[in-house]
Amino acid sequence: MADNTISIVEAIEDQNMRMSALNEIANIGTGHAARALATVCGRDFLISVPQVRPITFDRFHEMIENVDDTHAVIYMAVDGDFNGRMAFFLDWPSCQALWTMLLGSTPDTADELTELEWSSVVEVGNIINGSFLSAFTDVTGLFSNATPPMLAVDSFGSILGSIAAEASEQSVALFIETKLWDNQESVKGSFILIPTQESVELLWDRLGLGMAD
Amino acid sequence: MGPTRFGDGRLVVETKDILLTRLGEIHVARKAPMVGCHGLGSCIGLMAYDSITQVGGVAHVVLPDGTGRKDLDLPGRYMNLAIPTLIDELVAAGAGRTRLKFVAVGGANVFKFGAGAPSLNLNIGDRNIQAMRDGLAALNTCLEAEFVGGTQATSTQLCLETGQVFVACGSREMNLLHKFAEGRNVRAA
Repeated sequence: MADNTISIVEAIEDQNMRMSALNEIANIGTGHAARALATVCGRDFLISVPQVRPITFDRFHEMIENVDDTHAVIYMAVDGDFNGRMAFFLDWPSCQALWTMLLGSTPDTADELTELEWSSVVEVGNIINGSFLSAFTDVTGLFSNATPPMLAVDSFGSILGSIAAEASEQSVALFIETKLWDNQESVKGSFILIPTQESVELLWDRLGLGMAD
Repeated sequence: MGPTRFGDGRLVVETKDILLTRLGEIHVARKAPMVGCHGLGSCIGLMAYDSITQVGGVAHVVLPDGTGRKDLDLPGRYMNLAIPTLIDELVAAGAGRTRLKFVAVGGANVFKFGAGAPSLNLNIGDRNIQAMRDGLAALNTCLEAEFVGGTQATSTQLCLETGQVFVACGSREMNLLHKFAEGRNVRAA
C-alpha cells in the first residue's frame, strides 16, 4: 500500500482544485467550530486561514515539533455518508486556560485529572468536532454524524501513534493546520480529519471534482 | 526533547546521540550510545540485545498482524514481521541468535477518558502485547523484562554499552527498567 498511499497523497496535492475545495471546507468548518467554542467560553475567538495537508500515517511525527509535549486529543469516529475519524487537539497550556475559564481552576499536571476536568474537555471537543462536521455537511451535502468521543491527555507522539494504529485501515489523513485562539491567545487548537478512501471519492464526486483523474 | 535526564538527576545522553525510531522503524546498532523509542502509546518498543557482542536494536511496532496488508515497506510496523526482522538484522550486525534477550515497553491505551463509539478499535495496545508474547513464545523465548499495558504513554532507551534499558512515563525522567546481563537470569523462588 506504500506506493498506493503516496500516489493518493500526490493525487490530492497535484490537484489544486481539490486542495482549494478542501481548504474552503476546512475554513467553513473551522469558522463554525470557533463560533461554538466562543459560545461555550463566553468570549470571542479568532481563526487563522486553515491549510489542509494530506499526509500518510508514517509521516505523522514530522508534522509536529515536539512529540514529547503534553497534548489533549479529542478523537471520534465519524459515521454517515462521510466516514472516518476526526480529532481536535489542544496543547497543555490551552487545556489549562480552558479549565480556568470553565471551572475557575486548573490542575498543574495531567497525571490525575478529575472527572469534571476531563469530561469538560471531552464536551468542548465534542461541540467543536460536531460543529465542524455540521458545517461540512452543509457545504457538501454529505451526511456526517459525530459519535461519542474519546480523550487522551498524554505526550503528543504517543497519541498520534495510537491514532495511526487505531485508524490503520485508512492510509491518508488530512492534517488541517489552523488555529483557533481567543483574544488573550490562551486557547489554541487544530484538527485532523481521517476519511476513508470511499468517502474521499464520494466527496470529489459531490463537489464535481470526481472526473479529474 | 532536550537531553535525557535520569531519575537520580544525572545528565547522561544528548538526544542527538540516541537513534530514535519512528512508527514502524527498526534500528539496530553496535556500541552506539543508545537506541530507543519516544512517545509510545499503543505502539510497542521491542528491544533485543546480545550482551557479549553489545549489539542491540529496537523495533517501533504499531500493529499486531500484517497478514493480508500491503503496506509492508516498514517491516517493523507489524509485530508478526517485526520480531523476525529485528532478529535477522541483529544477527547480520553480529549478534548471536541464541544470545538475544528481549525487553518490551508500550502497548498502553492512551484514550482512557470518555465513552467512545463501538467502531473504534481501542484495544490495539493489548493486541500488540498478545501478538508479541505469542511471537516470542513461537521462538521459544520470552521477555526478560517489560513495562507494558496501562493507560500512560512511555518512552524507552537501550544503552548498548551497558545493556541497560530505561523507561519513562510521559515526559518524565528516565528510570532503569532492566540490565541485560551475560548468562542466564535465574530468579529466586
